[in-house]
Parts: sequence; C-alpha cells; structure tokens
Amino acid sequence: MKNRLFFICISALLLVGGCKIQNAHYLPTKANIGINRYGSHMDIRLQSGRRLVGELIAIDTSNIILLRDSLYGCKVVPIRDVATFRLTFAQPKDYSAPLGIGTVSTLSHGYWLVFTLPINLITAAAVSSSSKGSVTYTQSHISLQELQMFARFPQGVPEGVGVEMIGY
Amino acid sequence: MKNLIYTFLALLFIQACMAPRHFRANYRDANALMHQQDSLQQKPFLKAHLKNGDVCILKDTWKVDTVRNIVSGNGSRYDFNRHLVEKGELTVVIDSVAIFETNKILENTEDGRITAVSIITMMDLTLGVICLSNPKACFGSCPTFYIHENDLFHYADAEGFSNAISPALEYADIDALYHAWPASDTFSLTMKNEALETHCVEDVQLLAVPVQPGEKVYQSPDNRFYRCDRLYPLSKATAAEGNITALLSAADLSERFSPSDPQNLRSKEEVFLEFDAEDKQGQLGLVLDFRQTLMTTYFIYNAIGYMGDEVGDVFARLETSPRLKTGLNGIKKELGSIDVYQWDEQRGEWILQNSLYETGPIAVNRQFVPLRASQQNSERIRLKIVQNKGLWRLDYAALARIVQQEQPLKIAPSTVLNKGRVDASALHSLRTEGKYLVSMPGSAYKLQFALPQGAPHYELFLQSKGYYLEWMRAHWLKDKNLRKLRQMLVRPGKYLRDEALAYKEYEQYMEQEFWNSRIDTKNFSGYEK
Repeated sequence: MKNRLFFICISALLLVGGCKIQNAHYLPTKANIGINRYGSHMDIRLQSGRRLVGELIAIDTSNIILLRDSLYGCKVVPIRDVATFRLTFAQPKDYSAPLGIGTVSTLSHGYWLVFTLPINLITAAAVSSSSKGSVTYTQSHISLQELQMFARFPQGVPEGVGVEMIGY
Repeated sequence: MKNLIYTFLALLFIQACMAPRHFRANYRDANALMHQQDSLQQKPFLKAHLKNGDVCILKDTWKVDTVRNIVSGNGSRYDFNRHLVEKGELTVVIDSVAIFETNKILENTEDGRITAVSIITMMDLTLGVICLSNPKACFGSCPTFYIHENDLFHYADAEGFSNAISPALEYADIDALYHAWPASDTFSLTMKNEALETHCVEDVQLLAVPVQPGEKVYQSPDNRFYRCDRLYPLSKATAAEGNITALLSAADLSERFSPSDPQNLRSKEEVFLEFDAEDKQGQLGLVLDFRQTLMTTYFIYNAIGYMGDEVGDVFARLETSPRLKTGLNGIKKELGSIDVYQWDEQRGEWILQNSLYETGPIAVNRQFVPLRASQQNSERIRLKIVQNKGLWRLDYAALARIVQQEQPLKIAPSTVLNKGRVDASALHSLRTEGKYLVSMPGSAYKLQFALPQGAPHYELFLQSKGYYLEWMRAHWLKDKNLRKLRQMLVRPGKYLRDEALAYKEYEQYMEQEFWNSRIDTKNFSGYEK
C-alpha cells in the first residue's frame, strides 16, 4: 500500500511539475519562438546549493546575467559558481486539462480503475515531463557559451546600458 | 499489454530528452546571413539585435540590401527593456546590427505526446462507455471489509454475504482475515459500500481463536475451525495446461486460472496436487486460497437485467415463493463447488473429502479441508480438485497438520465510527437481533472490537449477516427478457450452454485485462513465514 501511495504521489508531483513554467511570462509558445523579444528562462543551481531563476539577459566568458524580476532586477552570476543549469526556451504545451479529465474519468471505470488510474497517472506524468523536456536544455545538451543565442542580448550587455537599468 | 505500455512510456521518456537542436542560428554579419539564404525559407522571421540593445523583429517579408547596406521589412522594434518603439515598415542599417538571429519553425514536435494523449483518452472513453452501458462488468457488489481502510477494493480483506441479493436470501458468511495481525487489544475493521446498492447488515462479529506462536487456525467449509501447527508445501501441481506448481506454491495473487468452455459453462476441469508424504504425522488438511472469476457477477447482473422493469415484482415474489428461491440457486448448483478428492492407495480410488464454495471475485478466501483418507504407506499424498472451468482462481495450496478443533470466541463490535464520529445508532443496529444497519453507496463504517486479554495472539475471522439490494440502472431495463430469466431459473443447465458464447465474449476482454494488467501483488504478511 505504501508503495502504491508513493507511486501515486510521485506521479501526481510529476504531473504538476510538468505544467507551465511559473513566473516566466516572457517565455513564448513554441510557435512564437521566432518573434519573442525576451531571453529564455534559466534555472541555475550554484555550487553552494543556492538556486537562481530568471530571464537570461547575457552571458560572456566569465559571467551570466539573470533578470530575476522587476523588483530584484539583475543578478550577475560568476560561471565558476554554476553547478548545473536548465534553460527553457518556450512554454511547454500544457496537457493538464485533457489528462486531468482523463484521470478523473477513471472513476467511471469501476473495478478497472485499479488499472486505468495508474495508467492515466503514469501517462500524465510522462507526457508532462516529456513536454517540459522538449523545450529544455541542460548542461548535458548544450555548453554555457552556446547559451548566448538564447539570451535577450546575445551580443552581450550593450554599451551604455547598465545592468541595473534592465527590466521588463 | 504490459510490454506495450512500457514501450509507449519509454518512447515518451526518450522523447523527453530530445529538445530540438540547432533551430536557432546567430550571424555576426549580413554576409554570413546571406550565405544561409537557401535555408531561409524555413526561417521566416529575422531578429536584428542592435548594438544599442534594441531588437527589430521582421516578419516574412524582410530582405537584405547589401548595396544600400540595409535590412528592411515589416515588423516591430523594441528597446533594451523590450518596450515597443516602432511598428510597421522598418529599415535597419546593417552597421548598427550586432547579431542577426533566425529561428526554424518547430514543426510536429508535439506529435508523440498528442498521440499518447489521444490513445489514453480513447481508452478512458471506451472503458467509460463500456462501464456505463454495462455496469455489470465494472462495479462490484456486497459489503467489503478492510483492515486498512484506505486500501483499494482489489485488496478487500473480506466480502460479506455476496449471494444475498434479497431479504429472502439473507445468510451469514464467514471469511478468514488473512492480514489481521492485531498489535493491541483493539481491532478495527472498515465496512464499505462501494457499489450502487443498499446494504442491510444484520450482524457483524469477529470470531477469534487464541493461538501460540507458530500456530494457525483454518476454517473448513462447514465452519469448523482447526488449529494447526505445521505447514507442508506443495511438491507438484498439474492441470490441463501442464505444471502449475509455481502458481500455487505461494499466496502471492499469482493465481491459476483457466478460460471458460465456449461450448458449455458447466464444463469441469481437474487440478492435481502432490505432497511429499515424509514426516507427515497426525491428521492433515488442505489449505486452499481461492476466489471466483467474474462469472457469477455476470450471472447475478444478467438475472436482474432480464427482470427489467419487473425487478420489483420478481423480488417481491422471491420473498414468498420457495420455488423461485430454489430456482435462483439453480445456476449456483450447476456451476458447482471446488470438490477436493484424495487418492486412497489401499482402495485405489479418489475419495471426495469436501467441497469449497464462496461467492465473490474480490477477496481471496482461505479455507481448509481436513483429509479423511488414510495416507499410511504412501510415498506421496495425492489430491485432486474438480471444479468448473473458468469459474475459479486458485492462488495457494499447502497441507497443514491439525492440532485440534477449536471453538472461536464471538466478539461483537464495541464501537462504530461513522466519518470519524461515534455512531451509537449504528452500533445498536448491529448489536440488536432483527435490526439492520442500512448502508448506502459511499458509506464507510469503522467497526472496533475489543479483544480479550490473556492470549499471545488471535487468529481472526469475520462473520457478517445480511442482504443487499442492487440498484436498478436505467440502461438495464432494455435487457428485459423474462423468457431468458425463466430459462435461467427453470433450466439452468441449458441456459449455461446457450450463454457460453456470450459469456466468452465478455470474458475475453474483462478477464484477460484483469489477468494481464495487474500492477501489484500483496503477500499474506506473517502467514507464510
């Protein structure tokens, strides 16, 4: 029973985790990648264990600049402090509505709910995770320098623009 | 089926690791951009990142004029904070551009996921429609009892009075509580109504037999209780399909099951069991774990379906007509029990020992058949099970050595909790003869029993008495067929022949799914150690 509960909880967490990237209004849909004016979403885990998220503003050989939000502004992160990163270049397609309805509909399956509920949860988790993965790069896919292309300023922070001036 | 699901999920996860690569390109100067013009058909948008931080996003009409050293087209220009500066026909001097950016249109990237969602949606819809149009196939019946209240119905510890579909058919049912291992002097059991039925529960009692460590108590079909001190494992089991020893050696829900006979649902089959006879002193008995397939559920609901809108009349007649009551038992008689035979070396023949029967496809029943035939001078103890083909699932067989017969203590519930609150009225109904606790769909009562002190451990059994009333579903009315009902009651043997093919169709998808897609097993903890 404990195993089943664990399994269901993990599946549900994956399902929730696979949905929209929170607080990243600047991320386009896949169809609008070509006309998006912002940088991609970056999620950085530092060597210290601290996590930083925000819009990728620029990157050079020694620093990454993230715009956390309009209140806290930009953060300059030394590349040597980066342990892992995850870059999301578009909002993953959200399948939670059809999958959620499908999962709830298993209530009408009587005995067979025992099988169809886990199958629905696994599929929901897999689809959501897969959807998120299809718009995400990690350090195993792409180097930090290649990330330049996904910054708001691929050329680096423009002359005359102070980091503290950058916002939305 | 399992392999298909695993492959399907593996493909999804593989796809998860495959974010599209190289859909974006940066060019430091216009010449580099021009050299890629062949592929520009796939890249309808051009982003010009200007040296001052602005960005111009040009739609599919953009062009590069190297003579005038400009890029022009329809689009929008944003400042470094990405506020809109200008919209419409734009002209950008190439020297002001730091980097050009193009993006390929990402096509068909969602195909795999859309396919997966479509498949699962179709499966949900199909099964939903099947279940709503034929609830007989999907929804259970009779009260279910759980030691762990949050367990799913598939792991119910007992089913109460499954055959009692009307007041006239009320009876008391005893089920062994395999998983009961009470750690304190209070034992709780949750009784649920998980179907569209009204349950009328006259009595629920715990039967407890004190035992010493290592001892077990088994219940025979005639409700005698035997304290046993040793278990002897199965040496060999065979059936028509071959060696099935592995399936019957452990109480692990890996069950031996055979499909019904498409010609006749009365067909019998034989299962042979062998036990090594060395060191088996004293009287022995067969321990057998079994439950039914969905065959009886199918017949119960068929009968109600045949009654159609006259279901009330038929059930009213059932209360006063012994003939009708006997008729309803006709199918059960035709299907038969699990008959246990022992080979008698001295007489050279199979001797019937006893028959086992328990209705219900959910809870696994453990029953005990004391062996009467002599096993002296035998190298092996050989048993034969004769049973209806397609009606039974056998999970476990072993021999146990009997110490003595026991009389269990009867323990009535001391407290009843309804949604966490003490329900004195429900307790009163259960403890008063002739009064019924009426349980409606979705109800769950937690029954608490106070175990007497003084024994190191108790083996527990549940005795429940009552009946239930199946709720008529509107779509069953169309199944009304009084001629078929009459045949079922008067000529059950012919009915079972005639219905064999229809059942086969039902069995093929329901039983097969049930068997193949089981996701988990549950061991009888503490028992087989």
